[in-house]
Amino acid sequence: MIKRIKRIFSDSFSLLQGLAVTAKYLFSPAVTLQYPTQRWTPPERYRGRVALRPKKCISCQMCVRACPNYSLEVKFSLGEDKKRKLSGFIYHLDTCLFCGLCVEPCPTAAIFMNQEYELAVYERKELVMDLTEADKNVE
Amino acid sequence: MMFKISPENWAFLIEFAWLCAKAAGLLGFVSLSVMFLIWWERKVSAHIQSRLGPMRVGWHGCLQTIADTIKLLLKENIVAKDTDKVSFWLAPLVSFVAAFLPFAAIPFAKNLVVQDFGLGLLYIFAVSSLGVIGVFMAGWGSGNKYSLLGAMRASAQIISYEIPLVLSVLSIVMLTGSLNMTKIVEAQGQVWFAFSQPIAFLIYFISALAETNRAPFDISEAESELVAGFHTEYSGMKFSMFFLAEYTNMFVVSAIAATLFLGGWQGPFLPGIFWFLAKVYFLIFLMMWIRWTFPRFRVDQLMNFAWKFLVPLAFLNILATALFLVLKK
Amino acid sequence: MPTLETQQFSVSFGPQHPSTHGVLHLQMDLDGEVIVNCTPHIGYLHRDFEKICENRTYTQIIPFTDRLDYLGAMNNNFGYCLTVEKLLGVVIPERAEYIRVIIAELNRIASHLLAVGTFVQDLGAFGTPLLYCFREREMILDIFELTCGARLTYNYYRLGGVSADIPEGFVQKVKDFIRYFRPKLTDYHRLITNNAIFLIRTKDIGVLSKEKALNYAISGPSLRASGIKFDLRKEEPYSIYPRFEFDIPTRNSGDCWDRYIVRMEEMEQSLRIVEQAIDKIPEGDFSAKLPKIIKVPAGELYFRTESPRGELGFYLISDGSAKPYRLKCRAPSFSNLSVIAELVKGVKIADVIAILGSLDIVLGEIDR
Repeated sequence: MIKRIKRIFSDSFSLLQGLAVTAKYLFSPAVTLQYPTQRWTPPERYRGRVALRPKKCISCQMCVRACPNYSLEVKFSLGEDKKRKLSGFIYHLDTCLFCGLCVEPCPTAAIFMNQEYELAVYERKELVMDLTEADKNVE
Repeated sequence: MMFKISPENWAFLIEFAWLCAKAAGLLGFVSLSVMFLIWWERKVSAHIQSRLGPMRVGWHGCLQTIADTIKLLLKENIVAKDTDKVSFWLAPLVSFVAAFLPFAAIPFAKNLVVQDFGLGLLYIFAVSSLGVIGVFMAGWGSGNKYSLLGAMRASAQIISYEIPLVLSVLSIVMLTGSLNMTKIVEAQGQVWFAFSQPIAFLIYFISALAETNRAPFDISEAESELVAGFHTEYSGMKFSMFFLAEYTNMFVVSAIAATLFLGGWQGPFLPGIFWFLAKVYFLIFLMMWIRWTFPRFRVDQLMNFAWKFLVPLAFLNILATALFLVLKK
Repeated sequence: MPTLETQQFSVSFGPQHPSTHGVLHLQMDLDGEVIVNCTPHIGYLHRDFEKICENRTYTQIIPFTDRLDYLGAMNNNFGYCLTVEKLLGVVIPERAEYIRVIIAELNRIASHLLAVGTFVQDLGAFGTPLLYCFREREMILDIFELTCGARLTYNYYRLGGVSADIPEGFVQKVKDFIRYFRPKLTDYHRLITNNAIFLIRTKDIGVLSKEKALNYAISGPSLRASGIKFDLRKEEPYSIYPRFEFDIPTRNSGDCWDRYIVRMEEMEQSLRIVEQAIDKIPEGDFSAKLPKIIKVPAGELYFRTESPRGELGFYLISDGSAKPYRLKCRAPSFSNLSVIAELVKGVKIADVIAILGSLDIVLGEIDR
């Protein structure tokens, strides 16, 4: 009997302890951001979508070979001086793993991952983009 | 054909119109209050969880509930193939009406009561236990196994907890010798029954949590077990009727607790209605606080708790009260 | 006198259900609230990991290992890289070893936080403990994001080291986290561990005996809760784990509460490891020098590491080319889940959720 009464008290105490914890947080400030009015800045190394500096690209296909999910296509034409000229850089955002493996082998640092994180679109075909168009002005 | 309306009939008609007006006023108040409660619960839960909750619509999201209601009203009315149409449609109404009826006998302030019954307390418990029928109709009518399980749990739970609930109130009735709510409030002029009958208050509060299916006794909805329990198949306005009923129920049990244990409208300086609402909202806040802190019981533990702990305790309390009354004489 | 007849009925629990932890499907035969029979169905998240690996180079496989146990992705990276490195016979620079261990242990904390949070959430403490856990986990994810640029699928480990050196401010951030997290653990104990309702919901529920645990090849915290002191970080030490001092928390009865408390204590131990390692990071390279095209010498190897969920093993057969001939993944959650059908027999629906939550499975790893 005494054991039971003791247990009632210890149980109620444990419940009160829990209430104290939640009460403590009730009056402490919130930790969340009010997105989209408040925005968070991604760190320097953040891996957003793949982006291209078109002027730097030498169409060497290293990124295409590095990609584990075949998400990149580099189109080029051979110029008169036998140099490759970039004519299209197709990026399949829908199959991209955001792993960053394409960035690492690039000899001219033409390909990188930018800070964009709002990548939702209304139609699936919008996910396939030509980066020479989309990143025309990226230096 | 013309009716000749006699003076007695006139009196009756006027009284009837007056009652209708009072009921309409009450309905308006209840709806507003539920809207406020939903917003408040979202705010309390958010702040407990280090969030901010609704912030977009109106000042700190205070109009969020209205936006949600409009959304619910515009939603498609989905009725699954295997539903029992009659009970599926009636269930939300039964639930809401049962939740709304007890307001008639609750004194909001001195003389501010729709109908001051002599047997007010009895009436309240009688009509508020009708809600379980609505819940069971919903569970049965949905034609869904999860709903049925939820409904079975809910009916078992509500019926079990009705007993300690009434037993705890019984000791108050023994002290006051009346079932009239106004008289019970007036009997607490000196000291609130929450202090002279703390055990009864505790039992009442715990049973009230269970009666309204609030956590930690929310096994009939049990999101993580039964999806949404008895209202799994409901959507749109029918769902919001259940929601309305749930919050109305919360208000009702808190109002009864405030009346029976916390001195009703009595309090210094400020008008009675203010004190009454302050006490009610404080109790509702307690319920929210508990909900967002504790895990839920299992169904058999819940029954054990009611039958093996609360009911004997309530009987002991009655015995003690009776002894006290006898010795006082 | 006519007798009342009762009928069993069957309920599909998942793959769309609020608490099945991903896309697990449990077919349950119920007698009222009591489970008579339970058949787990898996495969809804099958992505053919092992076959994909046969067509990828060794480096290209790393991002796919992220997607096995997505809550402990760093540990998966770790296990896979160690397997390949062992066959390659490459020496990892000291600095890389320290970074790897710190990151892996932080990831273990993050994973256990989520395990505990969802477990308590499934028991009905709606939202609050889960969101507290998320709040703390978020700090770890911030650190990871600073380091490798991603919050969930990190792809941070590379063969021979890591992909990038730790950034400026990393050490300070980790220290801040340790200082912040210790008091939070006491909060959890107050809020959850000693809570009377939590205790009656988890004590003596889903008891997994020592023998059964061994027979079903259970590993990780669930095994240690059954009283077997087995942790690969101690038993078959890999990387630089032998240099650190830490205990292996165990419990004896093997019920849901034990599995929970073992995870809570493991978080403390992981904190200890991080604390010891963070001050000792040596200067040097963050990655060994390896050729651009990595060809692993022919041979086969099974290598296992301790992931947050248990023994994560990779069985690698190499034919000497740049792609593995075969890569088999032994996922801890798969074995841990296999015991569920036996554990839930005769318990109530509410207990199924408790048992499932306490086993802490990740479907990405089970279906692969």
